[in-house]
Amino acid sequence: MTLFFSQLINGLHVGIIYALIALGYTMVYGIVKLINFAHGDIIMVGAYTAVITLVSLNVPPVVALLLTILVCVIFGVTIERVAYKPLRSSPRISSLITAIGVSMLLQNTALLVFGAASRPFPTIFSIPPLRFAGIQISFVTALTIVVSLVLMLLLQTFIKTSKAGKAMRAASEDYNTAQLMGINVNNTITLTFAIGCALAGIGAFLYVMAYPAVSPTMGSLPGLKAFIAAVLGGIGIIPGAMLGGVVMGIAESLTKAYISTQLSDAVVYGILIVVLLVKPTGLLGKQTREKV
Amino acid sequence: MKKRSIVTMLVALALILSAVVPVMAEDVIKIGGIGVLSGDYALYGLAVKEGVDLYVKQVNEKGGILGKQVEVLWEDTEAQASKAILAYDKLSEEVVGLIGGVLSGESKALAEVSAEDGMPQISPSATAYDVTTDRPNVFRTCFLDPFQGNAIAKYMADQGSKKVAVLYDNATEYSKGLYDAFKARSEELGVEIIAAESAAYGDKDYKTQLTTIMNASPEAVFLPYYGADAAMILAQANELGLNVKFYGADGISDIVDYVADKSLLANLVYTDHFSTDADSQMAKDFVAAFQAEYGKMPTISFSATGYDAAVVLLSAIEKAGSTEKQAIVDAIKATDLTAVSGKITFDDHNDPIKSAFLLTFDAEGNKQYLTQVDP
Repeated sequence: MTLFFSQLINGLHVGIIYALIALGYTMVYGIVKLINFAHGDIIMVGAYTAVITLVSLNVPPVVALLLTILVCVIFGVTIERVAYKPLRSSPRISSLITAIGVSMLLQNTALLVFGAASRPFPTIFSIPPLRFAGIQISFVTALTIVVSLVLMLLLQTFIKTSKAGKAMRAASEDYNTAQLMGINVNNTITLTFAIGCALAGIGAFLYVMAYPAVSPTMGSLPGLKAFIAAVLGGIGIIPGAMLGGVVMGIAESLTKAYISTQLSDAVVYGILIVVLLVKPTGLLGKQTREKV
Repeated sequence: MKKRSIVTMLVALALILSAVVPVMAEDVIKIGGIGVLSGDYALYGLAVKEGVDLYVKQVNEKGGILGKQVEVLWEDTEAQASKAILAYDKLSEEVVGLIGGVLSGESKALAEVSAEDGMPQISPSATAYDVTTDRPNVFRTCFLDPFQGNAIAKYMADQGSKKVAVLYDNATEYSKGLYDAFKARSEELGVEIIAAESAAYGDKDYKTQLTTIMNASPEAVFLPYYGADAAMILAQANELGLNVKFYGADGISDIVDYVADKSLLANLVYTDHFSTDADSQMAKDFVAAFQAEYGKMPTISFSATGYDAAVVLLSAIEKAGSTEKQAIVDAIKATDLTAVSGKITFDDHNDPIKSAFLLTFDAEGNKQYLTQVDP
């Protein structure tokens, strides 16, 4: 039984990182209906920032984390302004292709600048695993889960109560009407990208703490998984992204532990297919009537 | 335009003739060296070349073999099997034996054509099993992947480990091959594999498998992985608090570049083809001579296996007393000598029966020689 709980916690660790990244996908999709495929590569940008500031510039971890968030936000906002904003009134497929292009641009630039070999990420905390009712939880796992939960709560409160959050919800509900009501939709969209990328920056830091290797293509896999998590939970819905990520992480971990390693992706995608067949809008998705 | 091309052809012809003429001289024995000397894998080929050239130089200083000087003709394959065959066609008339290829693929292509002529061929570094299969003229001086699995099982048994675990990648031939050999040998030696977990290729998250392994409480864990993946596994094992001995094979030797916290490596033991700290006199002399010649340590173990390939080939020519191909092949087959990377004899499959070097790391990530194992 303790083994089962240990595996559950392993799954929660992976899942909550997926969830953190998935928030960026889902928030952006909620407002501009764009699947930002470059989001995974923001993780890579964050990871390189973290490793460079920590190892080459030798700054304390907290400063490195803040710099990582800052760089990710700058990248995210710049990408939004340069690549997506000019296309806002074009067909959706144009922005989608642009997003894929931006993703390739980021990956290949990193390849050019840093080379293909992966860099090790230093150990920040040398704290032995915590014992909790017979279950061992590694410090990084515990930290990741706590930090992510706090961030999600903060995000929920921000969106529910603040004025900017209200603007975001309004823009996501009806873009044009929100504009008519005097909401600066452009600024709201930029803010959405900034928040998504800040979360991705923190996600990147937590990700490389758990998987200490930084390489140009490292963002694709967590990016893809997070995107699936967002769709699973219902894309555009913030609690859905959190739920989707956690469900995926736990499904992956339990499949690896009790069924077969090779089947773990198959099981995750299988769950996605079943959910989409039964409830096409995702786990927490609401049926919306087509606006005429 | 036409005139110029005729002139070019004449010049080319003259060049070819002038290149062929000195070959007629009978006072040198020529051997061919074929391998990758440029591109991504050049590191391995150049290491082999340095080893071979060093031994040939030493032999020539002592008066050569059969009273003649030895010359090595090198050809670059650029890691392509087709170029290896071209190189063979170019050299086969002049040389009495071949050292090469360096990579398994080019060695196989080379072996196919050399087998038709019965040309003695020794690869210093081709680890794929079937390079020598059904080719009585083809030998090698490096050990094969399964051999390392055996060596690690033997070492674990010697260390008194009774219950061990394995984490392997069942999508790569290297990892799977090592695991299969390890499993068979450890069963014979009474070492029980209490957990065997596999991971999907390219996976980054090994915590699930490591948790299962930790739950079985093994005394040691075998990781048949390359350095980058193994670095990820060691970091996650440390995070989970799994503190046991870890074992790997030659592919893991570049792990130092992928680990930030070098002290993790102190728990890792792996097999290699050679160690610069080996205690035999021959190995010590080799390291000293290599340093004197090239001003660096022979850190890539294929320098040692390349040197040994030259030792085996030239000793066989000496023993055969002639440069007749079949005589040399028979002499190689009967090889029983101590070379730099250990004692070498050949089995039915023309693979060397030799010892493996066990290495570990100190807390700064420097390689440390442990012992030699005969599985």
